[in-house]
Amino acid sequence: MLDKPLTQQEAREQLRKALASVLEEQIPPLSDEMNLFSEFHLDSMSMLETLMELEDMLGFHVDPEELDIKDFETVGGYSSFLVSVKDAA
Amino acid sequence: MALLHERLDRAATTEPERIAIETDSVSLSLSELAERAHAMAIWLSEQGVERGDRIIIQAKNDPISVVLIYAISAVGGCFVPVHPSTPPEQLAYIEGNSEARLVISHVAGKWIARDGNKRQNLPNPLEHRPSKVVQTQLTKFDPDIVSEDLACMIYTSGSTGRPKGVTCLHRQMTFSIGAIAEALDYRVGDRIFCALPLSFDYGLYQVFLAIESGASLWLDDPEVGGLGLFKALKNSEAHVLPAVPPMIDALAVMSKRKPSGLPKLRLITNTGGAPSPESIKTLRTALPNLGFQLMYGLTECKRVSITPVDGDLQRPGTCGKPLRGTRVEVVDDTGTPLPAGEVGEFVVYGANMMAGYWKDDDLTQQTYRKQHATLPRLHSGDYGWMDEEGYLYCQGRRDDIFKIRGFRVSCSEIEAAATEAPEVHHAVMVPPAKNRAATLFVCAPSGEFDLLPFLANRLERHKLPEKVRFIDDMPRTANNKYDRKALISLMEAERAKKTTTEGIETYA
Repeated sequence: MLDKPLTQQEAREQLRKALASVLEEQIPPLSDEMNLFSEFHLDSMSMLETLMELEDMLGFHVDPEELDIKDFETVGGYSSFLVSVKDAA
Repeated sequence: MALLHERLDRAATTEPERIAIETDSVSLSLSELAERAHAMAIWLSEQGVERGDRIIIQAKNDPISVVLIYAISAVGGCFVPVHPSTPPEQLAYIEGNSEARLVISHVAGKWIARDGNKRQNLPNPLEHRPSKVVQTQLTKFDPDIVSEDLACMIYTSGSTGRPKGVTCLHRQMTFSIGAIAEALDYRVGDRIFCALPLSFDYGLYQVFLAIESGASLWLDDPEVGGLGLFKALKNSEAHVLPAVPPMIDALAVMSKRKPSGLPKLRLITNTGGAPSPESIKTLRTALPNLGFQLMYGLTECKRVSITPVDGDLQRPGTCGKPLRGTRVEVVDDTGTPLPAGEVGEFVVYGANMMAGYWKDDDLTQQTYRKQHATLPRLHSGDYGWMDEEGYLYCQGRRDDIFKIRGFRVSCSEIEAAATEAPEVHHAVMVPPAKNRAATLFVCAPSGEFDLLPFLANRLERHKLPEKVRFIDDMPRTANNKYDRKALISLMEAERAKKTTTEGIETYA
């Protein structure tokens, strides 16, 4: 668990780990413009599973009311989301 | 006369101002919807569309899809809704099989109508605003359309081969709409949240049911289905959520974190497989005002049965009672009706039966089997039983059922038992076949564990799967049902790979 604020780069790395764990695949380093739906064939349901995995890894709890699929489409958007929820936690 | 667009006319005449279709940026009242459909009908007939023509709509969840549906109906055409992500090869098959006159799709922000190789932009019916309100009657557009005319064709994947076009006449659709609306607790002024694709008959009929019930339909992107569902529902302030089992699972996960977070939501309906009883229990606890109506149906007759609100509490496992004016019999392999409590095939008899499979005489005869050469009954291929009060208990598709050591076993039953385990989120059973073990695929985010003792407490010994495999993500079909076929393909691919490897080793 990370207690200090997360940097964008750390968030990206945590996302990579979560994807690797949910998809049981080797995930290459991510870049901000990657689209998670097309790149990894994630759908809205597997996105939810990835997010639950990240909650466990990083120790935060998302508010379901804050979850907008648009924030999760790209690696960059997803990482920014993680940085901001971790800040608020 | 029972015509699809006539139902819209009737609603628009009674309450022209009532909102029919909404998204977060657009809303159309009943009269606006009818006017726009009328304008679009004029355009379609200018393109040469005639009575009986089939028109494919790559039906994005958008008000324009709804305008198109009513416009096609008004000119006497037959709309064929397909999923926006239908692969080109599949679309080409459907286009050929239906001999479609036009293919209308939404490409790069534009609606395009394609006639053979000729493409043109569709007029935007939302931009076009009539200068003054004209009373438009869609039924006046072509008064010669009769209720026996073709209205719609829905391609469903059969158990084998190519998708089949289930052919639906106006009278069959309007009967179904009326009977379903009677059984569902949709109320005047309700807002129905539809994130089911309009190409899926469950999603499509939400349009008709909303208009029939005096409710409005909130169209959302099917992609919100999991992660964004809670927020989208909250944002829409919807009262009703028509769901498939994975949506119920996702909503249960999120509602647990935000109890009472969806105060407006009053009703969830389910079809497309039995929902997880555990998820329903979670939702009932988190949202005390929420009721459930569990249903069963197949495209071939749209809907078979509906449970009254929360009827599943008294009768766990039920999928409801047959629609008003229809009958279901449970029959054995010879077609003889079975007494209550005995498992057999559901045979449906009533005006909800659709016309058959487009251009497939054999399959139509086989499924809509005629007695005495005159009386058709729909053999559903689904098995289950009926209790003394006439409630149905569905055990699944014919291919859900397999025999092992002479016992009949249902995949759905094993899946339901597995999802009762708190660790298990989803479970899909793959029946055994030659060189393939009876395998239960399980999603359990907390990690692998020994599920068999848990199952052994719930199922007879012969029903226990030979193998339990944990996977992280359950494949789903375009309609968001769990995809057993994909799991079977996975096992076959693994086996093919293994055989090849073994072969190499032998010769090495």
